[in-house]
Amino acid sequence: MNPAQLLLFAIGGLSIAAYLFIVAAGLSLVFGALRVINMAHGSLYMIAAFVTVVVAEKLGAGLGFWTGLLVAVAVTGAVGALIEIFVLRRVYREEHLVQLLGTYALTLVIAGGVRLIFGSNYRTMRPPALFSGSLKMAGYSYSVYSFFMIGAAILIAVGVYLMLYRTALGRNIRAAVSDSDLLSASGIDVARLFTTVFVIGAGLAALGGVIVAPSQAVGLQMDTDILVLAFAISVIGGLGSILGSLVGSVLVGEVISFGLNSQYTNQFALAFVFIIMVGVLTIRPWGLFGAAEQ
Amino acid sequence: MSARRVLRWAVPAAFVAIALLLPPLYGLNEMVNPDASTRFGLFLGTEALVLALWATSYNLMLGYAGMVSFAHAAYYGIGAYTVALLFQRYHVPALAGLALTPLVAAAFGLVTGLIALRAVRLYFSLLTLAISQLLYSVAFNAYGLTGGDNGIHGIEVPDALSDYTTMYYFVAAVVAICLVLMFLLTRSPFGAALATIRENRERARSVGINVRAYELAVYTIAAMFAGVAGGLYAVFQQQAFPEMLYWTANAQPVVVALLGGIGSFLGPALGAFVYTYLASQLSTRFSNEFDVLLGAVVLLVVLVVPGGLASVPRLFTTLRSRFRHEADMESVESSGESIERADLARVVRIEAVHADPTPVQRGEPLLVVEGLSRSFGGLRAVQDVNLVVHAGDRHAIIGPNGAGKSTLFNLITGRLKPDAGRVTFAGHDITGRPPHAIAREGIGRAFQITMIFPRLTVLQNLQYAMLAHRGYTRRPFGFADRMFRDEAMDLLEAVGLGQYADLPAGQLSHGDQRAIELAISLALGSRLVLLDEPTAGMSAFETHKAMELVRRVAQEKRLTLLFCEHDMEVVFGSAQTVTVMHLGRVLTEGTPQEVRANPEVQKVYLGELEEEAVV
Amino acid sequence: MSDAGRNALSDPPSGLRPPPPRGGRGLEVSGLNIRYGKSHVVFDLDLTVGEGELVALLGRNGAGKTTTILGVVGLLPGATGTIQVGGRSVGGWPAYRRTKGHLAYVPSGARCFPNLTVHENLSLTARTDGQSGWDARRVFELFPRLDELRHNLAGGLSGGERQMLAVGRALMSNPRVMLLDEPTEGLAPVIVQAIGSLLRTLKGTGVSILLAEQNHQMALRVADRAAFIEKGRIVETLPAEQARGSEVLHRILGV
Repeated sequence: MNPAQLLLFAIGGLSIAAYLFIVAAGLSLVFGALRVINMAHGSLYMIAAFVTVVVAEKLGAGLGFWTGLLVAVAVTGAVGALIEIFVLRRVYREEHLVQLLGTYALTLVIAGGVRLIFGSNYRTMRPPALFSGSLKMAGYSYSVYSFFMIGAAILIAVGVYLMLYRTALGRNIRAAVSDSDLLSASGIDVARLFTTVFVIGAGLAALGGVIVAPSQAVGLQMDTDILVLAFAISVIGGLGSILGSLVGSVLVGEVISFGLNSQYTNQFALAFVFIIMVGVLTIRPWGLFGAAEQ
Repeated sequence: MSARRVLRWAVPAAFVAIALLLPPLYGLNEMVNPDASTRFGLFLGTEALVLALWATSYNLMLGYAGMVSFAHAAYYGIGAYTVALLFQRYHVPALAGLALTPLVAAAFGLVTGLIALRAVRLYFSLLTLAISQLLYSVAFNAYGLTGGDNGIHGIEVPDALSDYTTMYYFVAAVVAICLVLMFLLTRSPFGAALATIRENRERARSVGINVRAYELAVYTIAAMFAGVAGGLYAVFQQQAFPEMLYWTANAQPVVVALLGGIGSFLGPALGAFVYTYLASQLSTRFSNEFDVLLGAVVLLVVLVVPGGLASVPRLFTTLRSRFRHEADMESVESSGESIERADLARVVRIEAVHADPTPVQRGEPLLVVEGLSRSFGGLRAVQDVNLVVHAGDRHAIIGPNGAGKSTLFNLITGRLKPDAGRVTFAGHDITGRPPHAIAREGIGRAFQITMIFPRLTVLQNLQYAMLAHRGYTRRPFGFADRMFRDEAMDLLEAVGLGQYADLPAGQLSHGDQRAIELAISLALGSRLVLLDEPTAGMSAFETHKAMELVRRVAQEKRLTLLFCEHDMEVVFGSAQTVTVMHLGRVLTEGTPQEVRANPEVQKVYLGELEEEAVV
Repeated sequence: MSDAGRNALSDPPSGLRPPPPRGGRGLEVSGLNIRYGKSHVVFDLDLTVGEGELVALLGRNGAGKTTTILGVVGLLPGATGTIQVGGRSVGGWPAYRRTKGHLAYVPSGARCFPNLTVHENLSLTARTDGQSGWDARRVFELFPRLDELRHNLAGGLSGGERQMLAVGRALMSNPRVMLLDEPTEGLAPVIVQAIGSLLRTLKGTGVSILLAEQNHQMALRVADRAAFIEKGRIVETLPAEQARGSEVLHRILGV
């Protein structure tokens, strides 16, 4: 493998890592503050992707993408709020199994709903004109859109960081991660905070879905495919850690990219991800940056 | 009560009857209704049977041991592929392949279980997900080995089984055998151990159960039966395909188990039949909206009826009795005054409380702690503690908050490992050994917060603790609920809890739960019992009675007691030796009178804090 | 008072003038019953802390001090009874609403948010009083050590520093009533005295203080009255001077 090829695969891996990170960060944030594993996270991602594609079909690729972005995030955020208020609030104090099953049931409902509304065909859309086309570097062709994806992910990562460390909301979220009971006794409405965090998580899932829509086919398997990877990243990086999500996403993205592009490991690219997951958990049971739970 | 018993047997009996009579019932139906297809009905029935086996095997882990696994579909798939591959490549007859599925699936289960069980709870679940996906991607991608995404089709079965009715009965027979085996397992002492793990892991450890080992065992056994289910699928559907191993395929047995009720043995099987028939009806009429409906149903069940269908009879009887006499319900509430009824003389006579004949003579050192230390970060919780507890003694440890009493207890019982020092019990070095091993050595513990098995009955709490402690729980046969029944009942009545024997322990009042705690510690026949603030949360009268009970029993049965307390009346009324701890060190030791008269001790409790505390 | 006691911590910081009296009563608790599931742990408890008064709640471990305070703060679902702060009935309010300027809770063990900085911990509970109330500047004047540590994570602070932070957090909400759960546990005598002085100062500003303690020496130095609690019941209430060395004290707290 020459350096130019290496660069090609590496950047490909980063563009995969880009949307993976956005989705995984949302999952991790929700788990860190609410201590709930949301199986429906992938479903929210899928809703956003479908909405974006459909809006783009109506309005054309350029305007459609940006409008789709707004609409998708709004719709997904609303769905997220409904989920938190009507389902999650009932299961916060229950065992993990009940939470898993409840949110899993939601994936069924949402998947069925998406199929009813949007049909079961794959849909595609082109990237907006601003980011379409390709770029030649060191003899290989790169899609401009993949750079957009990487840039968007970096922007979002910075945004999440700023939100968490420079705003009052972020401070409250971090407080909830360590001690939500004490937070209740400090004058903060924790129930409303939880809803807000969940909506933010849903928003991140949505952003992931919007960003990925122009780069691959949008179909009904998206929810489970992304969820498995988001889980793997959260586990590798550590549940509840945004930095962990970042590191995990890059790792997984690169493994997939290199795996897919080698003729020997083509079919097993995904398998390597799971081997890494197993490996990390046996050495560091809480993930690379996760906090040990009592 | 009799209505309840009838319902309890009626449901399984009806279920078995219907299952057995399905083919003739369908035959009858066809005579009456010529459009109905018996073959399709039997096909569904066979599907339901396989699903019932798969779901019940899943429930072994879920309902009985409290483990949530995402890898169970993988073993199901492996079972199917075993039959399929052996047939396709080596021309092994399908039925012979079926006979091998338990071995193959159990082997996979054991190996992957060893990996998965290195993690706990949520991370365990996610690890099983990873393993499942790994196996799936092998099945999906290894074209040469497994036929890739096409799967394997066209498995041939013996001619005798090509008739739908015969196939149905064959599958029913295999499923029935497996169900019976699993049922016996759940009722055995091994199953009792699983129940204790599910109810209270920490408590299970302290009565001598090696939790990891049991979890691995049940994981492997469940995988084995899932493999058989998968093999049956391959035989009856004559194919195997990779999607069987995809992690979302686990949803089926989970949903089915939940629907039928994870709290009962036949719940999942019941759920399987309901699910299969419901699904076939819904998918023909609402093929488009099927997923949504299924999801909505599961959501409804999760949010509204967590007990599943099997709990409906129970709901029914509870509703009925609520409309009847309120007075009946009153008697079921425990008043928390059981200790008052304790018959001390009787307790003393009971065999169950008999301490093992100990090679350590009365008055000789039984527990020796030397130079024990433990820090947490910068905080030195226990510093260079020396302690000797003599056989037959009632030894109290007192000290203000933060003195290190609980940490010391945790170090002795193995919940924490010391940084330095040694703990010897009856001559054996037990330093740093795991809690269940220490419990086996003969050290029992009653916890500060009540640690009982809430959903087990009061009687089962005692019985299972006895089974665990005496090493019976390794047996996968026998009926756990019949063992040590008389002994346990005797002890319960002696401490005044007899009338609550069949109530779920979690329903009792706090004071009564403490009484169960005490009873368990006494029942375990340990030589040394550690009591961590035994009278916390008890009223003055309960405290008095409880300590009287403990004193008399310890005296008669030559039990050695080590307890820590804040209630000074308890200490001075019950203890023969008192050790005072302060800031992680032993301050002084002596008889209660000596300690009381010691001005330093007075200072520690009532006076100035002379020493510099950790700032 | 020895020289050790006279330091920046025990004198009121410059510039802090007591705000004008607020009017209304302090804390009035009546008929407080607390249950954990089926067990009844606090029985018909009545307690009053007037404006500018400090009541010490004295009792052994497990007597119900922490439970009572948690019940007043609103963190226990099984608590029933009437709770009034400044004449307002807060019993039906969720904990977060009670702690928005009415009650402030200083938990045992100096519990803070270890992953937040000192400054963030303080700003979290900040509420302005309109007038000359507590803010970060005043808290740092009171605890100069915290000012030095303002950008450090709370988890890295020593026990004494965390206790100062916990008290500071409570002050930032400008409460009418402060509830402290064993604030001096595990602290050096110097810091214990400093906290005592602070409480005396606070009393002077009209805040009602309920102080749960095992260290009765310190508590009785600053208290106006002492309520003795045993197994979930208040067995006796005495003025502080009478409580010192009393028979009930020895019975409840002694060896």
